[in-house]
Amino acid sequence: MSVGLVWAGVGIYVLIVTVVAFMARGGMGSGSLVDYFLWNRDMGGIVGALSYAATTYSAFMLVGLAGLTYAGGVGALGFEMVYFSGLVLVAFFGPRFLLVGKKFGYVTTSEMLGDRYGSRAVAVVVALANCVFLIPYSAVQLAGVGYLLDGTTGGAIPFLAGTVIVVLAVSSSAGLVVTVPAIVRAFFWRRGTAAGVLASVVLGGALVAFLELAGLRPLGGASGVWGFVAAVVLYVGVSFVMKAPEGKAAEFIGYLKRGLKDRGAV
Amino acid sequence: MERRGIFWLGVLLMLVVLAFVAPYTVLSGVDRWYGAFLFWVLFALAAIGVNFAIVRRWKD
Repeated sequence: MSVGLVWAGVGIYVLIVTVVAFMARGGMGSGSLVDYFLWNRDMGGIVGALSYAATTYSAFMLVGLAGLTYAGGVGALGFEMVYFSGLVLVAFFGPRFLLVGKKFGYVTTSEMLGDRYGSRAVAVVVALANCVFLIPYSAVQLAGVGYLLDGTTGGAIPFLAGTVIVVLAVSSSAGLVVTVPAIVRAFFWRRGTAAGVLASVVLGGALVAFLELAGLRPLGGASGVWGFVAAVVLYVGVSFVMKAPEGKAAEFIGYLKRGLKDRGAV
Repeated sequence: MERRGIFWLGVLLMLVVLAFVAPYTVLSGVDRWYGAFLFWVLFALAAIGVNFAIVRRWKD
């Protein structure tokens, strides 16, 4: 396939995604967390199905599963069908999540579990586990696009460039990891500052991108691991150096505490 | 609802076990389309049926 055609395809894709993002932004109501992540818990069946499809038909499936079929034959069908049958978990637990989510205002599962067991430690551990297990999955997405662009252009767009495109366009893997400390500590640590958040996300993300592009694995650790460590250290360190935040942080956490107490959570 | 849902979860769990056991034992020597390939296709249809049975009465 001609390189120009592939570049044009990538360009059109980025353009469409950007337009959709801006349109979605205009259609957002309150701009709250629930509005952003859960569409005010009012997503219809069709958009819900499209969202599920977008999650499922990723590079993991389009590149990984095709490769697995090529390498292992019909056994890949068994793998995929068993994976697909896991949808029953959504059918069974989905309505339960929906009901308690609406009732108590949960957005994430870690939030729900932390509240349910009355333990911050549970929420933190679950959130961390989610992130850790998403690291390889996210990395596969990046690698998949890199391989695709490399393969379809006969190496004219090398694997690295393909990966850079995805890092820039999506930045899901790095972004996901380095925002963890900021998100987690936002609810629990009054001393955390905006400067700490910015430093951890920006510099942590840059570190992940650098390690990925340079192909470095210091002490054998993956880029996401180092990005995460850097994000935690930067967030805590910078927050301590900066002046303690006034007003909003106390109000935010105080409100959370009262809300949780009202709901019987410890 | 609860008991019915758990029943169907149990059914699916057994199907999943079967999806591993059958192709690698009784069907391992069948190198034809009606071997493991057909078995997994039928397994998928059964899994869809279980999903349908679980969400059938759900109304929001």
